[in-house]
Amino acid sequence: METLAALGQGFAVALTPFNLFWATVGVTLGTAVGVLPGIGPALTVALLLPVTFNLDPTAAFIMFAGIYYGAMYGGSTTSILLNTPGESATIVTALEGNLMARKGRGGPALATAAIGSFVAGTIATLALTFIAPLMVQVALRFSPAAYFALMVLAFTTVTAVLGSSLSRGLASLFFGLALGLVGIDTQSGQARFTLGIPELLDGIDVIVVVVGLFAVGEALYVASRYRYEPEEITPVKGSIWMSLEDWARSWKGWLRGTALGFPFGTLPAGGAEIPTFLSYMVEKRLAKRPEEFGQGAIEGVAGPEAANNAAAAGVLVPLLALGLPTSATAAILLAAFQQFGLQPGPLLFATQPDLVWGLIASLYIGNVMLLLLNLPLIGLWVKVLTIPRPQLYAGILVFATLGAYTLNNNIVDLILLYLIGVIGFGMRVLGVPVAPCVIGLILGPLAEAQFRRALSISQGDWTVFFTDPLSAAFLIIAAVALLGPFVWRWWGHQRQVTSP
Amino acid sequence: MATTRGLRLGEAVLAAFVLLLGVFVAVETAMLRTGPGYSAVGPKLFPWLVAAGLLLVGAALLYEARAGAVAQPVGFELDLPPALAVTAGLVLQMVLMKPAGFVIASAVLFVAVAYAFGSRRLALNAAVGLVLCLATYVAFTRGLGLVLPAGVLGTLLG
Repeated sequence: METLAALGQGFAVALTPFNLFWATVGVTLGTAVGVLPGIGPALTVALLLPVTFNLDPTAAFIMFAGIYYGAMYGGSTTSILLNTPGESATIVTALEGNLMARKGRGGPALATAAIGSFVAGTIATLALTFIAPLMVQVALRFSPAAYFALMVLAFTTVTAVLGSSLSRGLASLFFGLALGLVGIDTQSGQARFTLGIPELLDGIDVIVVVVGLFAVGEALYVASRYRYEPEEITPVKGSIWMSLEDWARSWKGWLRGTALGFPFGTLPAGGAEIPTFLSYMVEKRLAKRPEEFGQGAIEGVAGPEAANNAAAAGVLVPLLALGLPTSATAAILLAAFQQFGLQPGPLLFATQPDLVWGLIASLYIGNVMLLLLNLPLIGLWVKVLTIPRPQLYAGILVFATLGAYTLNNNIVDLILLYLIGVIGFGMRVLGVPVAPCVIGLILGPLAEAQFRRALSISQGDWTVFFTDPLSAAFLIIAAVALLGPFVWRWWGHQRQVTSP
Repeated sequence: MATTRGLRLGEAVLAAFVLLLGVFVAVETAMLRTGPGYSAVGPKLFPWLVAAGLLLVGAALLYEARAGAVAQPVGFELDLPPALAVTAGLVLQMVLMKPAGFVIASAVLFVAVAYAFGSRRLALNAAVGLVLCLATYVAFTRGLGLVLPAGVLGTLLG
């Protein structure tokens, strides 16, 4: 099968000493930064981006793969040992994991998280290996109208599924779309919304926005809440190895978690919250001792952790095969690709197979490295967690500004960083979700390009979006996702009214 | 102290922000001078859609600010001075970046943020900050080949 041959070639690329070195650097840096509280995978990749600027694309992306997976591992460590995890996908792990840690079972919690992540990551990457080329075949038949409709679908599911109120999600999305409009319009050469500032001709960089929202905004928020949210680190006592009973209780959770996580990761539902929560509920339902949930049940860590990592791999499927980011982290990875002048999608598989398959191969390698790295080095990661918060956040902001400045070496990016940081602070306080903004920013220009291409092919005929079957299908699903909850609630209300 | 009324005010501000942004986008789009021969699918179409979306969402948010759910539980506390200290640090860094160089500007930021988070050991933080920023500078410029402003220390660092 040509997929296996391509994968083999990818391994040949990934296993060169040079690339192995960068993979190691990636997983180490990714874990170290991922452990830091309040820094999720999206911000980790964004902050470590400057390190890759002068590398060749293959090595850079192998490093990114390591950072991406490493950040997920690091985040699990934090959520088990710290009572205030910063990242939403790891909140579920913290539910049982932190309780386990307080009972002195931190070691097994970390172990089940690490091994579960490895199992899930490997299986999910296998699924990625075989599904991505299939998706590429399907995607080659997409018309611009279908692509546009798919992106609209991504917009609606990211806003409708995440966050408490639809209007806040939409506000975030349209804000991102508006930011994406800044710059030279590629199809007409017209400068838009640049307010006479030449540095804005290239548009507003995704990295600046992400670092602004996630790092600066988060730092402002935590600074203002610091007095009210004390953090406690639970030390890891006793052995880090799992007993036979722990293994017996965990392994099914790993597999079920993977099965839940991967499909959700591939869908534009904004990330890993849903599968991790689902996995938690499934494990609770199927556990032999459900009363342990809420006291520190190991299944409650095994399942969600596996789901989290499987979703992370799942996110890579639409990103690599279609160029469609389904989470904020994927949006950063897409921005990283664009930084190197590459556009992921079916073309990339054809024109740069070494890069793509090298990346996929190094995901397997990264998984193994992370397993070997994380359990023995757990003491080191716990030390990282004990860095005092004042200096920690100071250091994070220094790196954040470094990252923003070195993109284009101009002050305007820094000003944008601060402005967006302040806006991010406001968003955090008012409960406006951040992911739709990032996705709107990066997909907006792509969606616009496909929109205009579709209309020029159809010569101004708007109905093309509904006559093209794929496009119509996507738009209908989008409408359902958007209006579904309202209809559901209205119908439930009607039933309540009519029955006595 | 953030009261419910304060949060509702905050949401009204959010709604106002979105509405203003929508108006801004609409006005700027209207003022765009497009070349001759562009049909309906020119560079103005998408911005119009975005402006329309912003205005609609802004209106919905305004409605929700009066009637909908508040974002945070009652008794939610926000301490503004630390946030302002962080902002001050960022602004100082930006202003000092070109004249004084990356190392000094970022060290100032470091001290300001540590101060904002409650650390009053200014001398220690200054020392740690300088060392960290210097190490970062060397690592990124010599090791990774990026360009950072050298500023005042430029002659020292060669």
